[in-house]
Amino acid sequence: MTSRRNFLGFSGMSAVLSTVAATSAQAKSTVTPETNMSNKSNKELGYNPVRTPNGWTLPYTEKDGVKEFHLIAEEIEHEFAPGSTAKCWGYNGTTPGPTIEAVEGDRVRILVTNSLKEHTTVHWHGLILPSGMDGVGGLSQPQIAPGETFAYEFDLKQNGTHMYHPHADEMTQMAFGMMGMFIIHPKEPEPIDRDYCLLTHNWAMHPGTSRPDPSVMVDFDLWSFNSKVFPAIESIVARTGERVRIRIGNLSMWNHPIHLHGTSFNVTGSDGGRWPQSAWRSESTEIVGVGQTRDIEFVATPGDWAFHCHMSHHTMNAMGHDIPNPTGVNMRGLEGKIRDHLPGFIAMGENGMAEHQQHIDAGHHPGPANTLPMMTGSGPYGPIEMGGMFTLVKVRDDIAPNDFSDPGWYNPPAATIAKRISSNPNYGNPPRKPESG
Amino acid sequence: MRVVAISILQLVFIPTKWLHTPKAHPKRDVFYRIDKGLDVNTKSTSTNSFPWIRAMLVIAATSSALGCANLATNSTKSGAKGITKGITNEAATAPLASTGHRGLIDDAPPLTADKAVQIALINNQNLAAVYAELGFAKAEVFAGARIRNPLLSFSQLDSNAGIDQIVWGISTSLTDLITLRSRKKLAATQALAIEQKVQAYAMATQALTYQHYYQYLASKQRLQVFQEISAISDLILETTQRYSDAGNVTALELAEAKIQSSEAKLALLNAQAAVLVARTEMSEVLGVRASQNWQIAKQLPIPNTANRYSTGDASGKIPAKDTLVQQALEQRLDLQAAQTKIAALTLKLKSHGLENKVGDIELGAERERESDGERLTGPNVEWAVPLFSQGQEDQLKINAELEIAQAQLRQLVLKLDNGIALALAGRENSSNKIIQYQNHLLPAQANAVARTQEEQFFMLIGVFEVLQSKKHQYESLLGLVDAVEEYWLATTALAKAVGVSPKVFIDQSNNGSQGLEDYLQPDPGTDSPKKSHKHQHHGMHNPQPRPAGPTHAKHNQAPDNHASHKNHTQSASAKP
Ligand SMILES: [Cu+2]
Repeated sequence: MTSRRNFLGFSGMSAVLSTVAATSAQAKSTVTPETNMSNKSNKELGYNPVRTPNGWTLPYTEKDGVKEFHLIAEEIEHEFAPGSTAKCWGYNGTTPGPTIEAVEGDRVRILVTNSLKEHTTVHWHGLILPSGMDGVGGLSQPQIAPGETFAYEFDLKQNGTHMYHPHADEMTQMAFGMMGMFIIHPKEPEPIDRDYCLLTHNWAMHPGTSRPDPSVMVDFDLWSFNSKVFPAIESIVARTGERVRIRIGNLSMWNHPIHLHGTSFNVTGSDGGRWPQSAWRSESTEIVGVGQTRDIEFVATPGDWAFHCHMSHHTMNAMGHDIPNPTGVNMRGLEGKIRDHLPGFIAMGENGMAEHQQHIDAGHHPGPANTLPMMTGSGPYGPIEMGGMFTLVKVRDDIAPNDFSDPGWYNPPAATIAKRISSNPNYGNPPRKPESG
Repeated sequence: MRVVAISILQLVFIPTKWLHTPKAHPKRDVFYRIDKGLDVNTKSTSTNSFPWIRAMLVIAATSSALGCANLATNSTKSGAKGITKGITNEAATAPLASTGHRGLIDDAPPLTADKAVQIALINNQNLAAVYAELGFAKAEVFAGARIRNPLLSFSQLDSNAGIDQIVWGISTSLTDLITLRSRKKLAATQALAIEQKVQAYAMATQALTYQHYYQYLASKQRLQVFQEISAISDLILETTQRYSDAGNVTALELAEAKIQSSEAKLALLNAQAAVLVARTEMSEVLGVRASQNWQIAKQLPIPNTANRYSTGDASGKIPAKDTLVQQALEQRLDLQAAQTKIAALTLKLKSHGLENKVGDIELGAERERESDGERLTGPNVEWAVPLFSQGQEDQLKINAELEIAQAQLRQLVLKLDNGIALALAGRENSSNKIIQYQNHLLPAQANAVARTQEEQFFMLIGVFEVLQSKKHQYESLLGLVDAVEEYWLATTALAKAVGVSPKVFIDQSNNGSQGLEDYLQPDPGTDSPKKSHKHQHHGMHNPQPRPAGPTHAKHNQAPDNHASHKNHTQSASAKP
């Protein structure tokens, strides 16, 4: 038996290593050397494999012309970002579960072992398959009881960006993190240099608790790409001029307008596969609705580019959505009196919330156990003041083809950085809209 | 006649030694006799003088104060006369602290319960009145034990011969002489009963003093808590007003904050009134004016958890209930007074029986000078033959009195038993409450306040929840004060039921060093996430605080300096 750590080490997917190593300690690996895909080149695979930031791809074995995968549903320990961990449910030791990758025309057999304490099923979201393989518990099949293993087997009759998730106690099991991507490549290779996939989700991880609350419908605490939140989401790395595709799936409870800075991307596909070019749309923000997938493609231009959901609360970590509004509240003289009763009290937010991260970063006032501050992260020029569904697209001129490692902060030519030209509050004469008569 | 006259003089005063001669006391019989219908005989009556001594010892032993011991000694030697006199004289001026205690009240440090007892025993006006009644009661008792004064008669009868007949006569009651012995005994017993009653009252005054001491102290502590609640309610209102000024809360929210603040002020006013009432009540027990400048301790001591309600004979803990009941039966002065009263009534019954059987016999002598000058001298006897009346109605009355006294004694014993059981249960119950407060509720609340502050700091909740959490914590302290007060009142009630000074049990209760103050002070260890955080943290990193920030000058910092906290090279997201 080889541990998954070893397997991945051999595979050369070094960038994934740190993430997977963290989970391999808990997960019992069933991977054997024969299943080691790394022995196969892209040419042998017949496709350019997708990269799942912070995640991994499920190996398979070939048996009589059938690609056999093995998923195991189980409870796991998951870290959203350092400082916030939880008991979640996932597949093969992680949430999201490993990305399943195959090629149109393949016959796949997917074994599903249920290691939960309640039954489950797996629904292959968006796939064209026999009714009995659709994975709706009670409808298309009996549920997989705890301890049982079911086999799903079908031909892949399409290509595109797909997903899988339970269809038994779905509300709970998805709230706990049970979901993954199912990528089907077309038979003909596509002109894509770097192919990434992200699965969006939301988590009712109430600050101070250690298990997602499945009862929450809208007021979530954490918003994630591949079950990670900023600043723990790996950057999307590319070399200048490369064609990059980002596949985005949404199994959360909100729609997410995904926005990429610095480029005009094309929306090029979905679970319907790569659309004909005539159907592509040029966008800077693309809403990925609940249950939908979208592929965007762009040509990488150098820089550090924000890539995030545009719902501004979705780029925050845990925060109160019902707090009294402190903006404009003058607490002079009162703060001290309150502190007489409550040592350490700070009135925040009179002039906006930016001071919040300053206080947090000063580190003198810890927040609740096991949660993340609302706004966090630091860049070369100061606090980034983000959280949740926020990461970076990092493009450099000198990135090697198989190098996914973080290149550090972008160092732009001096003349291209915004700079201070005055500290005088009355500087200049900015025109204001005239009073209407 | 000369002989007779001397006897009369002697009889007017009952030698005080009769009252105090200690004899073997069949204590074990007490309960037995009560059960047997209190067939108190002569022997047991005379032995009742023993508990009298014992009572003095109890007072002397339980009150470390000299004044108290003196009181017992004085009243032993000369009845209550001395004290009664002193107090009566003072009563003319005003119910003030006597000169000897004025210093104690006006300038001295706050009264301890013990000192308060000393003052009450001297100054308590009800006690003074009871002492004074003792004089009346004793006078009546002594009157009952005398022989009626001899009757001297003189008569002059005019005769037509011009020479008057003159008759001189003297007579006295032979019955009085015959019953003298038993009536003397009766008088002594009645006097003892009265003295025991007075001493019991003095003991009750001690308990009353402790009771009002703790009630007054508790009311002051409650006031302190209500002050904090009112202060925090005002902060809530002030903060709401600031939010309102900024346009961030509704008129409804502002009105609700005003309601909270006003309600807290009303509760504070009630607490102030309660302190005044409690002080006045205690001043009456002390026999001083409420308006005088006397103070009691500031802190209601919280009893130590370990020893708080344990009973059992070992290691100075409070003994078990049965032991306490036995102790009470032996020590309770009111119980002894009731027993002595029964003994007196029994004697009275006997004495009356004898008188009525004998009938009233008058012995006398007459000297007569006849008109012719002849002088005749000779004795005379008058006898009221107890033929038709043998004083049955009096017998019936005394019998009824005896039955009443016996019923009262049985009731007293029942109440004693119940009282001890209830006081012990009260101690245990209030102890459990104190444990609940100290070990569970208050730590949990301190924890809740700290966690609430953490959430507020992470902008998960607002300032109002933090303030409410603190207010809730203060409110719980009211329950702690109640529980501690209950504990000390139960302890006082226990001492009263057992018939000892409360000091005995209070010392055994092992006062903890903790008081309410410990809970009113914000605990930097739990309330504040960082110990000894003086809010100058930015100063440590930032030598030039931004001068512009008017509101948060202490917290604000220049962004440039702030950045020094951070890792400049990579954000967390950037690390491979
Ligand atoms: Cu979103």
